[in-house]
Amino acid sequence: MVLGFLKSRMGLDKKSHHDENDGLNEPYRKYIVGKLLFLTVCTILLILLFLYSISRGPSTVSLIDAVHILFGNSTVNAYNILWNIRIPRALTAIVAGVGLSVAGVALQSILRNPLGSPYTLGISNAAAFGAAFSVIVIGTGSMHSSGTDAVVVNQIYVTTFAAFIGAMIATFILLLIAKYKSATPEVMILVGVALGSLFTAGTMFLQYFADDVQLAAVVFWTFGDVGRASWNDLIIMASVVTIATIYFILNRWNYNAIDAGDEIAKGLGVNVDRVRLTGMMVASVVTSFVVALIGIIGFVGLVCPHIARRFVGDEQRYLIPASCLVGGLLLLGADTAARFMLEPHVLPVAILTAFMGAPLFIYLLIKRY
Amino acid sequence: MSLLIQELKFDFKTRSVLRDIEFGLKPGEILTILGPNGVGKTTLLRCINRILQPKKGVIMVGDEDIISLNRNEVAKRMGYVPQRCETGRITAYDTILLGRKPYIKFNATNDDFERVNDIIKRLDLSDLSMRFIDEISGGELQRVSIARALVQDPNILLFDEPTSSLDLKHQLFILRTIKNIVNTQQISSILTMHDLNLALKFANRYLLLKDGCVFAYGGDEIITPENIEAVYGVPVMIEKVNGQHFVVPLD
Repeated sequence: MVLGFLKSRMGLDKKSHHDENDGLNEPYRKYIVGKLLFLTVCTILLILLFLYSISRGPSTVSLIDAVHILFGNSTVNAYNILWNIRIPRALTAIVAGVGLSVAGVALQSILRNPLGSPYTLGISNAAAFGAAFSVIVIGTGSMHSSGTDAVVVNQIYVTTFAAFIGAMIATFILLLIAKYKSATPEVMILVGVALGSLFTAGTMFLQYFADDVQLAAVVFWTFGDVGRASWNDLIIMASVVTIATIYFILNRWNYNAIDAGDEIAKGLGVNVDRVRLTGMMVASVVTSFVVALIGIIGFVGLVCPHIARRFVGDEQRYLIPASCLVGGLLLLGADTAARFMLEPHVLPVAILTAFMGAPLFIYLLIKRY
Repeated sequence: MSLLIQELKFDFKTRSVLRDIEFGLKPGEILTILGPNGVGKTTLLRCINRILQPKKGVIMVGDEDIISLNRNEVAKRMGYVPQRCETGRITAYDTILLGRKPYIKFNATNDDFERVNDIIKRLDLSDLSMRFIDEISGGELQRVSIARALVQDPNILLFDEPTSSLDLKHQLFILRTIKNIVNTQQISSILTMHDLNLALKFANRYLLLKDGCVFAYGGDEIITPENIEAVYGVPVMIEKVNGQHFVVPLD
């Protein structure tokens, strides 16, 4: 049923009835069905992983109970634990994974560079600088122990806001150079790397003069952790990620054209400069929100699109949704593992994304070529 | 549909690249732009469909001025095949389907798929259609690129060095294909070329560029030893073999 729905969304069912005898279309149809199958399997896996993730923990509930709780049955045990802690945490992991991954896949296309990702443009480093500035200079870094050995940054919203401002400053500089200097994608990547180094140097400078409490607070903030987001944070992040994803999906034909080269894209009627600039802006904004709210999570934005490419190819009609699903899967998978690996300690997910993603990615690279 | 270009001018920053370019083309005609390296052949081609924005000039397709249309409307009237095309893990079929981009609102329609199937049959690309374009040869990719430009349903087809990366057999195949399409669909085509003899074999109009200006424009009659020497700086003679003219360098 899901497959049928997807087929009708992709406009494939229309041609199936009248091209029955067309030998040429059959392989293409099979090829498309293969891609839709991948998307369907990823969706099902994501739902299952979500249920598993919210049902397991210090007080484990059955999958059936988890479903009951999801549908609002408050008589089931652990209702509060799930709604207040596990469900927002798991949803944050999915939303952040989707957001970083969709920003990555769009940047890889519009910058015409396989290394394109929110990291490559220096946005994450700028957010870290913003957080460091807030903690050390503004003084939001006084922190306290909270029962267990976890540390909590006081005035987390000021820190988050400062991180967001940092990310937006980097975004603004990038877009300014892109617009007024008509910079090529190659130059944009290099500007991004330079900005990343600049903000990292700025963070190190601040850290050098910080006391050990502030230093710990900054380091703590930079460990991306999906457990940090509240329902409100989640709603803000989900809104931004949804709008960005819709924007990228609407532009999928433009990105296909740009993938074929700027000249061809222009010849096909694409306003390449405008698509590139707005795409960078949307990707930067979505990254800024995610990084500001949950900290730095590397690797997802870079690698999830490439994992998706291994399965569905470079065609953006399938690559964008596939990247979203893989992003959600990888980050939720990593967070679930981060919760159970050293129980009762809960690791920040950022530590595990690369641990899990890198070997998987290298395996896929070797397997295909 | 006819093409008319008047007073076309293009500057790169402060340097004048093309000026006072004027020529016209009727349906069913193939024009080759000839001239030495760096004279602005590719630039002229890119100006015609506004990949580069001309400084001034008029580009009329039928009774519409291309300068006043938006990019998407230009794409419905002109197909452009550059010298090289980026490859990726995309099937030839999807690459050709991309040519329908100017017409696609959200999804490709039945009509789009039908046109792609039709072009694939006409250019004999059936065996290639499900292969990935990063796994096919340069000549095959060139044919796929031409198919993509053709599904744009253009009145004018622009080719930048369509034969530069091809062997003799495929050079002839591609040029015959272009000639065939131009004749059967009564569209016009403009090609940039280095090979004078191939140009003489397939084109019926010629534009000789020198120092950013039109040195000569016309039919076979302008391909004279004097004009060729003036443009390329190489003395040549023109021989006729089996009813066809050949340019032979004397240097």
